[in-house]
Amino acid sequence: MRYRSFLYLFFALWGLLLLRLVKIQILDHKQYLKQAEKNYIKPLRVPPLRGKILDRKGRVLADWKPIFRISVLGEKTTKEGLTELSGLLHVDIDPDTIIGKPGYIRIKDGASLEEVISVEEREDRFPWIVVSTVPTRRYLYGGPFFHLLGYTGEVGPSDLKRNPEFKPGDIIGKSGVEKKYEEVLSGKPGYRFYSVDATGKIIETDPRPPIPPVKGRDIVLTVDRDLQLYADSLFREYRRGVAVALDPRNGDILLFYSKPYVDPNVLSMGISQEEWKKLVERKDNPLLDRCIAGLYPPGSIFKLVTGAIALDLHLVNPQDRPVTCNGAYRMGNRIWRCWLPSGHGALDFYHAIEQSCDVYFYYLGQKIGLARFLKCVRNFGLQEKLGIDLPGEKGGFIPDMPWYEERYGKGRVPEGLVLNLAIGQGEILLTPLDLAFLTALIAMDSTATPHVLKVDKKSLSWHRAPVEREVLEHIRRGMYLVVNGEKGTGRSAQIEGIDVAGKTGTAQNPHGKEHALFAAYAPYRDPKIAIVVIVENAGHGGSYAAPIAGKLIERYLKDAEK
Amino acid sequence: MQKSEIRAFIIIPFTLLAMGLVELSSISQFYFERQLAWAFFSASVFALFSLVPLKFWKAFGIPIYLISILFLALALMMGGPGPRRWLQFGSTRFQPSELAKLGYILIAARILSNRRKSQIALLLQLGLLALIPFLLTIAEPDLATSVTFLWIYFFLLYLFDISPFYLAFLVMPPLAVITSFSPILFLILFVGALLHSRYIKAGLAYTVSLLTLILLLGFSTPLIWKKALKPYQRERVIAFLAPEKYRTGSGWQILQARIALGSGGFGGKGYGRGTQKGLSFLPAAHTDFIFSSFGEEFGFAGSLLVFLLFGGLIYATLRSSFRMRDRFRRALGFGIGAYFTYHFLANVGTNLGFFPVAGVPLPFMTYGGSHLTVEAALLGLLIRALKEESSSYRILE
Repeated sequence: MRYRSFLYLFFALWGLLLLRLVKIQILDHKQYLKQAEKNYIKPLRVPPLRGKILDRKGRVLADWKPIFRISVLGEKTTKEGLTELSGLLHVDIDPDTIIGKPGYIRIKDGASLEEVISVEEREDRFPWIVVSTVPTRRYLYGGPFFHLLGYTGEVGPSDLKRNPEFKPGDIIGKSGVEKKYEEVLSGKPGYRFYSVDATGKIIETDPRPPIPPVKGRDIVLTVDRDLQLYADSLFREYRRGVAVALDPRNGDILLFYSKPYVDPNVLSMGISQEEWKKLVERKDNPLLDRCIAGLYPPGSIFKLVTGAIALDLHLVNPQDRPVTCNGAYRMGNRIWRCWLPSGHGALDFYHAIEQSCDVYFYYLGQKIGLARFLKCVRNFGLQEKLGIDLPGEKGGFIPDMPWYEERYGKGRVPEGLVLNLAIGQGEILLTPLDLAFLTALIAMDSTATPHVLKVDKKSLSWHRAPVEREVLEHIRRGMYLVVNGEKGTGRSAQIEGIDVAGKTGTAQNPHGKEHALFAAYAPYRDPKIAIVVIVENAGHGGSYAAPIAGKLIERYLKDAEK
Repeated sequence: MQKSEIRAFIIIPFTLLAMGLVELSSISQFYFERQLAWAFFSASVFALFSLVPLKFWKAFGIPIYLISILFLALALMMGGPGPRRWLQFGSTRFQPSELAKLGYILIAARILSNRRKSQIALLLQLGLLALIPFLLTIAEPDLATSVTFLWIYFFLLYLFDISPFYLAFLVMPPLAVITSFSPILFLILFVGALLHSRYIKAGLAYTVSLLTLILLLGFSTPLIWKKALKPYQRERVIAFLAPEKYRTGSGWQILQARIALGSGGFGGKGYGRGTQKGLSFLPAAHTDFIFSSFGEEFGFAGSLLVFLLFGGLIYATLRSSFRMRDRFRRALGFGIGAYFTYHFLANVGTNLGFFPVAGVPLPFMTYGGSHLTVEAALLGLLIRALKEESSSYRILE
């Protein structure tokens, strides 16, 4: 019966199709429903509000402002459309990174109203576009806080690899506090959903309830806004310099100022690669955070360390006058000059610091000897990073004997090197933060690790000076004379009503004039602030850095009284 | 009994047409209105074919066939670049391959009605007449439509008791082509052919020539695949095999069709709420994929109804044809049955992802006037045949 077998054949196939239909429409329904929704429901990442950054008194340093963000639905874009869009928005678009990619991709933040309108007018040409209003970082005081706060920018390929939470196009902290406290500040992004048709055109908003973003947490810093801005005004006539201040009692960073700087508001909006290259190649290096990554010869400030080592080793009695300065010091058949050609005569320890007599410290250096000197200096630990809670910190550079032996050959290291090192010239390099820390250590005998985030006193870690307590008292007396003595080199740091103790420094450098350095703390008997000011290529520390330090101390202590 | 069958041939197609129109109106008012006009035209064609005596159509089959061949050739010659499937008449387009299906069924039935013809003569005559439209449509190119002629040809022979001795020569070579890509399947076919020869006690010459043919095709097909097939044809087949890999093009269409059907679920998304077709993710929702589009909005319940209606229509067609004593009427009925089975299986099979995008219409539902008119004519012929059969039956009684 051919007729029957044909009927059976047909209904066998009919049944097979029916089974398949059951599988697709009933058994796999949920999976296909998801795919259908994925086809037309497109999530748009909504950036969270970044936590605010506040100063020690709760004053806002960084918050947010609304901007227009333009995103495109990658999978629907066309090369022609993107090219046209790139012209309208004045932005570089690499089509290869967008065409065919699933989901919305951010192509411009901070589009102007005109740009938004010009794009929306041509909606039929780019149906796959979406304009949203998103919060972006606003730095209320711009440049002066750049090195402290850092800036935000689009997440880079290395960040994406490091943290799976990041998605391309996310905004993250790129430097400074923004980078260090990214996890606290960033919050969690949310989503909005759009229904789109096959061309990518939005036909319905919120087909699903949006997932709201979670705001990041605010953080409170230890810096003082007014002090920072005041420092900027004091540096107005100088092109490059640093001012770092901390509270020696707890390591709170009060002032963190590095010049030159750039406006983080500009960087956070995203700049072109050419502009970025220009910034990187600028000779004055505005992207360098001099406070923690600028390495300077400490100059005469280092005499404090030399003096402390000598006293600790009982090589000299502070009241004695072991050497007479006639403007030069002879060791072997070489002559080392004092900065004062006419000479200081015979000075005790305190006045040697007061007048920064080189000859006196040449003498101490020779008595300590190179190997012992290096070993004792390294006991201060400044060759290591101090561990401030900011990215990019550098340790100081303090060579050891093997380093010299490699340069000069074993047994051929000239002993005279120690003389230069003893007065802070030569190979030793320190960051301004190191100097501020050293000053705090001298002022208080011990101090906490410097930090910019306000933290509980209990969580601080403490450092002690590697010398006996009485030694530091002798140093402090010398520092008092620097500012208040008749012949003090730092008299320009004097403030009415407050006893300041300090030390000037003048660091030779191969490029142009000397750097002016000044390290100080105040009040003399009740230290509340330790500060370091460096003015690059200005000249003598006493003339250029000391007055700035004095004014900053005055401002801070007077404000604190209020 | 016959009354109920006549009713089935009117009610089922009308229901399918109505369902198609509902879905078309959900897709686009434009398609709906045009199809409605075609439906009225088809109703008159149906009336014409059911009222005019069959013997007239038996004679008229030859000119219909010839004209359709002429049109097919014209479409091939006049068409520009791209597929040459249509002839333009004013504002309407006409697909001559649809007319050729009607022509072939009529002319084949006429030849089969001659009981004095030898099996081999039937085989060759019907084969030649199928081959001409087959080649003309495959040249358009329209692979799936061209296969219609072979399908009708083969099943007419099968239903008219042509010996397996010959049928093997019709079936095995195409199977050899299909299985040539899979060594195991090809081996099974080869062994099957051997067993078949033994079973019908064929001579050595038969066995050798059948096996040679299978081997020849089996080994030449992969070569033709690589050298002679057009890229788009190859792409269609490949996309069918791995649609997820080809998210654009024909693989994309198959995948979107499946998503449309699957996301419909049991109850469907509701009239006008299909997101796949509504947001135009599903291409050709009104033509090749109207089944998926319908299934998205009306769910498994709707799709099942389509299945049942086609099952019923085809069952009724074959059953009533089988009962016809007149050879012409029976051949006509079987030809029409073969037409419906092929179109249902090929179209729905494509929608379900069994075949590459085929491009044959779903009878009564797909948008388009050419196939609807021809289907109305086929139904008219069927009803006419039933009527004439019952009246001659009654006279005989």
